[in-house]
Amino acid sequence: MSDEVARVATCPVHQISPMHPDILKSPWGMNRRLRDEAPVFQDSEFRHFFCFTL
Amino acid sequence: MKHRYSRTPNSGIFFVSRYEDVIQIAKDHKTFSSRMMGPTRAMAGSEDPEVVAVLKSGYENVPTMLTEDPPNQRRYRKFVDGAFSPSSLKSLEPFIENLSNELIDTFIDKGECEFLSKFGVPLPLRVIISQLGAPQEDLPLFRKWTEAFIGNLSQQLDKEGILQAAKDMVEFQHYFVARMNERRAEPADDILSKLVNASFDGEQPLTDAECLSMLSQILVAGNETTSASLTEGLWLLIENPDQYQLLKDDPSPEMISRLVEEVLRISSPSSNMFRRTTREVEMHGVTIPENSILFARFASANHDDNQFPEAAKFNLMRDNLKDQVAFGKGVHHCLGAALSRREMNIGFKVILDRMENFRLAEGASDPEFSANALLHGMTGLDIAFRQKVKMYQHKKRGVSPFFYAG
Repeated sequence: MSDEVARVATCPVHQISPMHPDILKSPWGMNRRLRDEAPVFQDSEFRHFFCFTL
Repeated sequence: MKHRYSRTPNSGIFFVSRYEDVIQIAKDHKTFSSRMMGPTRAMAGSEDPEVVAVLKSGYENVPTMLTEDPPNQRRYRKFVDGAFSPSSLKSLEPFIENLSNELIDTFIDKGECEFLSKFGVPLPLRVIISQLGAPQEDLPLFRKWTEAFIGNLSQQLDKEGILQAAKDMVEFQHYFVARMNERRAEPADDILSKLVNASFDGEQPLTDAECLSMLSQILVAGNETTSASLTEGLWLLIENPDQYQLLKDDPSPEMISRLVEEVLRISSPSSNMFRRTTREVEMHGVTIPENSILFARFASANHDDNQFPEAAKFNLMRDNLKDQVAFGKGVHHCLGAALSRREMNIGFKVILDRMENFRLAEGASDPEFSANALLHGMTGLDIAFRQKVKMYQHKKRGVSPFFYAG
């Protein structure tokens, strides 16, 4: 388990970073926390969605 | 090629994670738009002049199926719906079965393989190549282009990665524009010919840019998600011997269908899909401003204990397997869902017919997943197995998918 995945298990929910690479690889623990504690979660740090195709 | 760099107004991205909420979003395309242009920012070029130069050598990117809303989205879908209809797919079944067997022929004597590259990737990729009417020897190109599109979706590329992805995607465009011109002059029985020559109700035929947008979506949706689920499915059988035993005891089509649905639920390869709010919305006490980008989190929905009791458990005998939303829901329900299901049903049947006693290869670590904002899949899976049936009867039939030109 990476440090970030371990941190997400216990940190305050507003400190979760859903787009952290380690969380994208292993999202299950975060998913459970968001479903239980923040079903609509605002990640105000991630402002850019880059997509030049699709 | 224009590209889109969408910036949410002041709010970042919203993540919606519960099953019932994801379903609500998927069903309400008027409030939750798939169109990422318009009020969000759409610029020709990025801040990097090298990327700008590459993109300008390609074709304009336009919204079509996944990136468009009804009624335009429906217009695009009807150009290709026929190619993915049940009757069209039925005729593909012998091809998929023969291909599955030929792929297994390449490694079965060794008793081990890296499953993703030897089976998970080539099975759906070769099928979609044949559907598009391209030569099978171009498989390495299609793999490269798929990786470029996926890398772009990942939101994880560095500057060098973005530049390379842009080059590869422009290469994809020029490759297909040449093939589209060939199909206009000489139509064949493939998706490409249908795309470039079809016209409904006196409408204008699709432009090159529209065709390219649709082809890129068909390419990614047509192989990457199936690759991921086939591979994770085998891992799930290794990790859950009790469920594997159920299949050994009853390898009927119904049980394999159950396997496919539960693998799709657990793996959920299209983990997130983006939407843009067309008006201010309140959900669970959170105000989502108009023009916000949100992720409808299908993978999280598929693991919601309120919908799927003990959702983390791999359980072929669930009574609501069909409620899984790995292929989305509503107007954007995956165009290739039926094809993917056929590939997985046939692929797993052939695997279970010919091999058994699956396990991690000696010395192999537990598989890892790649980091991607929208897609989720393993980076590889080293397995060992025992051979059940060495050779398959496809040799007698004289059909060799490897040389099938579609």
